[in-house]
Amino acid sequence: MLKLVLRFLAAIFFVFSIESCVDLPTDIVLPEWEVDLTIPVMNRYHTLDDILNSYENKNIQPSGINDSIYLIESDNYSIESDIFQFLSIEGPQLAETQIVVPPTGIETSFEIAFPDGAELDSAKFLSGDIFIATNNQSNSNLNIQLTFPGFRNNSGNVLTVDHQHQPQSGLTTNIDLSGFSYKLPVGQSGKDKIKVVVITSQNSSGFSNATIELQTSGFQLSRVAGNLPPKSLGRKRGSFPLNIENVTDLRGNVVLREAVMELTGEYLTSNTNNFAIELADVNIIAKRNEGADLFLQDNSGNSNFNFAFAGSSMQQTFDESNSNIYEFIAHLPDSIIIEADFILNPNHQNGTAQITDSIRFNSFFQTKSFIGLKESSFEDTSNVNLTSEERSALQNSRSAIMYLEFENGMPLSSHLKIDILDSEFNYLFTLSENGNNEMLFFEAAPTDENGEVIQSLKAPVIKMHLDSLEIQQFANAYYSVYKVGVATEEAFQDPNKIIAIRPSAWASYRVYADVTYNVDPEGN
Amino acid sequence: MKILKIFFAVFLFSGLTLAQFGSIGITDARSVGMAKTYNAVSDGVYSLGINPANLSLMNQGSIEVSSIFPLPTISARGGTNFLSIEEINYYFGGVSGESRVLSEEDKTNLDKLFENGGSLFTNINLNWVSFSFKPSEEFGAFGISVTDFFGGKLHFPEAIADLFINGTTDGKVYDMNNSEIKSWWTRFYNISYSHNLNFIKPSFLDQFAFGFSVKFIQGFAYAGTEEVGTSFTTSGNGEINGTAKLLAYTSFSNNFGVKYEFQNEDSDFNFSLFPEQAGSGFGFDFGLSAAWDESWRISLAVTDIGKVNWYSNAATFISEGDILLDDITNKSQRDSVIDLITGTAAPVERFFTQLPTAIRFGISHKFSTYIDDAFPGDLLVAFDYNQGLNELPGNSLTPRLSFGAEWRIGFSLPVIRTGFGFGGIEGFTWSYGVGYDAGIVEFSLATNAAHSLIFTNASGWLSATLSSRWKIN
Repeated sequence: MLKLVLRFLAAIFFVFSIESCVDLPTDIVLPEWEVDLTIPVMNRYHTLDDILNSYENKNIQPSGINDSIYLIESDNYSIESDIFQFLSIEGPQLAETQIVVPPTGIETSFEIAFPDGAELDSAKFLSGDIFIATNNQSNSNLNIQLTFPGFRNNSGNVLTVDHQHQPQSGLTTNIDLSGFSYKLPVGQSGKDKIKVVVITSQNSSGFSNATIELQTSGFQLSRVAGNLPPKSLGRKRGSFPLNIENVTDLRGNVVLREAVMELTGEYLTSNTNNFAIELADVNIIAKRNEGADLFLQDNSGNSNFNFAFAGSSMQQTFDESNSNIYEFIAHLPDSIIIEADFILNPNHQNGTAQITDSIRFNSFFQTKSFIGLKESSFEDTSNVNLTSEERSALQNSRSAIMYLEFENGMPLSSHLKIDILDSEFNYLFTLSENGNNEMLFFEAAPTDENGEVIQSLKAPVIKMHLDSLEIQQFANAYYSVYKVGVATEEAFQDPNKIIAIRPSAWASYRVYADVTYNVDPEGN
Repeated sequence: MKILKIFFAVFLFSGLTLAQFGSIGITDARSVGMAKTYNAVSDGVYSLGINPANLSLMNQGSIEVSSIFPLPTISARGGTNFLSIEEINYYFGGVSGESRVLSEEDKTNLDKLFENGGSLFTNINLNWVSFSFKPSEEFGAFGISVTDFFGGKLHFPEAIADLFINGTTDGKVYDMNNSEIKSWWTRFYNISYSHNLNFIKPSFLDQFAFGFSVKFIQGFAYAGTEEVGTSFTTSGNGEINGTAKLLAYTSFSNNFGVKYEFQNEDSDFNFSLFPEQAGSGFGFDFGLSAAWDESWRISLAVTDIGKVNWYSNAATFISEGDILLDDITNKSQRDSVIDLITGTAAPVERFFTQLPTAIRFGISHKFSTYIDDAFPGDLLVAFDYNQGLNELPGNSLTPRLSFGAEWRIGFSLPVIRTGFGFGGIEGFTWSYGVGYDAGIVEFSLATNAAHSLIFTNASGWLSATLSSRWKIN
């Protein structure tokens, strides 16, 4: 048995000792080598509509038809006024009369005028006062009853006042007209007067003398049908900021071809047979916070406009044929100011109105994207989103040549400069052709005499060398600052060439890189 | 890159053995020492899985037992068909512990090694128990065995190596169509029976027997590609376009805790040597063997006819479409390409895989002092032809031929074995081994990579096998 075990152990030793002569690596160590790769970094196609949609600008919208053009529209700028002041006929009126009362009594009438010459068919009173003073000049008792047949209270009762006098006495009553309604009494021809019926009685056999005095004041109507005097509601003013991004950069650089301003006046009411409206001395001003203002003017140079209308609305359009609208919009103000005098019933005619009515004046302008743009630049910062694995992979790159192929179907030339920054916003390097740190330039697509793109333009391939240091720096890139300047073709000519900027205009670019990459599986 | 190191370690040093599996699988140490020439020479428990008819060649009343107790049965085998040991040392041995920086010449040479692609293989067998018994000629002989098989093969095309070593080239076509992965873990419960066919044997034959085996198979895991049709072209501006097609299947026991992307619920990994089965199947072996002149043997068998039905956690990975990558910053494009290459997983009720069916033929002749005094001791010389009928792990469509010799000198000296193999996956192999037959127990040691030890620049294989069996009568 011992021999058997010894033979067994010897055999194991024999076999495995031979195997142990084989020189095998005790630890697998993967090699390291450089490999050349061509990497497709980016291949994009964008229309102008794609680009603008990403900025969510509600004021720039495509016209929604074939070969649509951009409609650059303003917000609606409105000023409004109520008509409370118009329904106020506050001027005091006074009327006095002397009556002689026979022993059998007497019925008579007299009138007092409505304030301000108002002529009412009907009305509802929000407030107002009638002051009544009667005086018995006789030595007997006297009853004086005053009835206002046109006035009824909320219960429908005619307004009546009774004064019962002692000999040689006077009495007064003040009537609050709040909630009273008025309707022209039947048979009364004059709408501008308030009729008062006087009925007297006494217990004397002789004649008595009395005086009656009436005074009206503070009539405020909530509803009226009739003829109220023309009244100005005051000069109304509204200021509306335009909030155009980078507006100061665009000033002096933009020329327009088509622009329209629409002015609208509206009388907002649920009634028919409204009073006429006049919007007088209307001014529309393009205001800059610093610098000169510009008034919208018609072709004669007039900047004070008057608009009168009867009915619910009016509209006035200003375009290049009847105004300085191009100049006005191209002034690119910080705000638009609208001022106007609101006058109701300028022609002193009959009509109806109620206190909930209002007047609105609205302006709106629109231009199409037929423009000449000399140079507009903007600068922005974006994040360089690289994962830690991607940064680590970049650090294994030895060198790279990036190629940029750009095809421009937009009638806009552009300058582009991209600076790369680290996490502390320290400058690292500039992406530029051949390391010259200059801006990249792309020509605009050529256009015809109407400003329409003829064909796209392929730019020469741009090569950007990144040496090992710049690649290492790119691995530490967290931000990119890019400065972009755009201009339309022949924008500096006189006159400027106007270009059609359409939503369908496009640009495509492809970026690829020849990279020498160090494959290092062990992570040395 | 620890994963790669583990990958190499597993593929270079793997496994346990006994029981044949496929046309190229590892077997007992006796056969390994003879360059896996076993069809006509195997007997007893060593014939299970090779040719059940050889059971009848046992002596009447013979009992054989083999298991992991009391002596361990161990085999280690693995390697590549494209890297020699010398090349492994050069490229993956480092320089003073650091990575070797490859020169352009190194890269060119490394690229040449992959000009036909590269294959990596591993075979791990564990025999729980084997038993054979021949009560009498009249009864015949039977055997049983329980064996686990873990096999894996990976073939990657030359295009992958070219891409990694040389990078991209304008206009070059990278063909991935012959990429392949197959791996599985199965457990075979084998019952074999053999009986002589003396009633029909020709008169010149001393023995003529048939045998068959019935196997019940438990499948625990399977992952394999069925079709890969992917190729792409790179252009000067970096654009990559091509087509992708992939069909693959997987199935796993619940114990693996696999969660596919179409599943919502997590499951836990719970390793067990006796996991829930993911599939099941049946297999059959048939064989004939004959002997004459007390020195000649001839053997013919077909093994592992059958299939496995996989149904637990079964999924298919399918993709078909055009590849376009021209914007790596476009995540949806990147994801689309990745999905095309890796396929989209979808549940499947069941799928079938074949067993590594193989046709085996062998012939042997023993030069014996007791027969013709021409040679001291007993010299056994054998020839095998093994033809796999598919490319499942353990199998190869490339036929494997082998010549082996075993010299029992006697005088208490060890038995010496050697042999040469050709074809299959390994190509040329030179084996040698030793054995001791102490009557009741027999143990053997061998390697079928002797050439690797001497010609380190010629082979990427290493192997060492130890096996034993108890014999009664």
